[in-house]
Amino acid sequence: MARKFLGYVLALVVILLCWHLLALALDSPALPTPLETVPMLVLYAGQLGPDFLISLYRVVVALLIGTALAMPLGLAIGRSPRLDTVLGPMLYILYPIPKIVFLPILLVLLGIADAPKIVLIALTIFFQVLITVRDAAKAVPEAAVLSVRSLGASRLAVFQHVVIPASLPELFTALRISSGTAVAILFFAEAIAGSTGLGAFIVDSWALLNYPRMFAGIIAMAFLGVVLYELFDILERRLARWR
Amino acid sequence: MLSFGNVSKWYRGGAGEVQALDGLSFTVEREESLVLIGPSGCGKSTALLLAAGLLAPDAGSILIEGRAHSGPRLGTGLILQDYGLLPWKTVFENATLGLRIRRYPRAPREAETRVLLEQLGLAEFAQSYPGELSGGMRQRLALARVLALDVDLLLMDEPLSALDLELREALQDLLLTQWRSRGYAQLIVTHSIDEAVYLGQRILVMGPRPGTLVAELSNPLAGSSGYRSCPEFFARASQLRSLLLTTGDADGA
Ligand SMILES: Nc1ncnc2c1ncn2[C@@H]1O[C@H](COP(=O)(O)OP(=O)(O)OP(=O)(O)O)[C@@H](O)[C@H]1O
Ligand SMILES: [Mg+2]
Repeated sequence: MARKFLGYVLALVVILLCWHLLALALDSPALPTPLETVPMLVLYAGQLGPDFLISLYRVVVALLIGTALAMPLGLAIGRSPRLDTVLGPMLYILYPIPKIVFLPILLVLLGIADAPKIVLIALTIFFQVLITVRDAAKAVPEAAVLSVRSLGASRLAVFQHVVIPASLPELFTALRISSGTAVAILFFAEAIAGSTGLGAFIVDSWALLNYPRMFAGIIAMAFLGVVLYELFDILERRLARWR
Repeated sequence: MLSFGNVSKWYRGGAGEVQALDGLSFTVEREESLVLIGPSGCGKSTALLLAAGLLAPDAGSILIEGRAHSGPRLGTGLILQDYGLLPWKTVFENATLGLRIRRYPRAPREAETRVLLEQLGLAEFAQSYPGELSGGMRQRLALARVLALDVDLLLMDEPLSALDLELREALQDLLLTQWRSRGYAQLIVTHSIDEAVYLGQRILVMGPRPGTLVAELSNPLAGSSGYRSCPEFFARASQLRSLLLTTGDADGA
C-alpha cells in the first residue's frame, strides 16, 4: 500500500516536471504550466467536484450494466458451440462499429441527461466484455471441466466452480482496456450534449479560452481513470485471489 | 465391476472423422488393479473417458456393476493426466469439492477432508493454491479429491507421468497403499513398462489406433511389497517389453 502510494507520488513528480518543461519550451497560452493550473483545481473545486462525481457515476453505472449483461451471455456463448455459431457472426458485425456513432440517435431517443451517455458507454463495455469473456470461457482447460463433471457436477456447478472463476481475470483485463474507451466516449458525449460532467467542464473552459481551467478539468479526468483502475484492482484482488 | 463389450468410438471434428477405438473389450473385477498400456494415440484416454461416463460409445456397451450408465457415476473417481485441479481454489477447497458438489453436510465434510489431507501429507498446505505446490503434491491432491468420495472404481490417466523417477516410485507406493486399504478397483493408463508391472495385476496391451486389445499379461504379484526388486518383476517387465515391441511401440521408461 505504502509502496503504491510512493509510486503515485513519483509518477506525479515526473509527469508534472515534464509538463512544466514542455510548457516552458512551447510558451503558448494553450499549454499552461502546472503552476498556473493547480490553483485552478482549488478555485473551481465547487464546480469540478460535482462534475467529477457525475462523470464517475455515469461510467460506473455503465460499467455495471454493460458487464451484467455481457458476462452471462459471453459465458453461455463460450460454452455452447451452437450458440456461438448463431451469434458469433452477429457479434463480429456489430463489434467493430464505433459505438459513438449511435450518439445522435440516443440523444433523440433518450434526451440529453444521463441516459444516453450511460447507454453509449454500456454498449461499448458490453461488446468488449462479451467477446473477451466468450473467448475465456472457450479456453477453459478441458481437464478441469471433465474432472469436475466426474465429481458429479451439474452444468450449473461447472459454471460456478470452473468456467466463471477461470474467466474472471480476462474479465478484468477487458474492463481495464475498455474503460479507456469508456472515458473517451464519456468526454465526447458530455462535450456534445448537456452541461454537466467533466467533458462539459473541459469544453466550456475551452470556449472561454481559459486554458488553466481546462487543464484542471483534464487533471480531474485523469483522476477519474485512476479511481476506475484502482477499483478494478481492489475487486480483482478480492475475486481472483489465487493470482 | 466394469466391463467394455466391443466398444468403438469415433471423433467427429473439423478434420473429418477419427476412429479412436475399434471393438475394445475387457473387464475390471472388483478390487482389482488393472493397467492399460499401448502406443501414443491408440485411444487409452478415450477409453477412460468412456468408462467415466464423460463420453458415450458409438458402438458396443459399457457396464458398471452390470448396468449401463449415462453420465458420470457417483462411485467412480477420475484422475486425468494434468490432474484438472482448479487453480482458483485452495488445496482444501479442491480436496473437498466433490463432497461440496454432492451437498454433503459441511461439518463432517470439512473434518473428513482434513483427515484425508493429513494422510496424504498435505495438511500443512491446506490454504495454499495448486500453483504453489510441487508436482508430487499436486498429484496427491488430485488423489485426495477423488478419495474423499469413497469410490469403488478409480480411473487414472498417466497419473505419474509428469514426475521424476524417484517421486514416481514413492507415489506408486502411495497408490498401492491407498488401493489396498480402501479396496476399490483401479484402472490405470500408463506409458511406463515398470509402472505397469509394478501396479497392474493384469496388464492389457492395446495396439495402434484405432485401439483394440492385442495382448493381456497376468501379473499376480503386483502390489506385493518389495516386488520391484524381485526377479519375477524383471521377468514380467521384459516380457511386456517384447510384447510391446511386437505390437507397436512404447517409451519403455
Ligand atoms: N476431442 C477429440 N477430438 C478429435 N479427435 C480426438 C479427440 N480426442 C482424441 N482424439 C483422437 O483420438 C485418438 C485417440 O486419442 P486418445 O487421447 O484417446 O489417445 P491416447 O492413447 O490417450 O494417447 P496418449 O498416449 O498420447 O495420451 C487420437 O488419434 C486423437 O488424436
Ligand atoms: Mg492419453
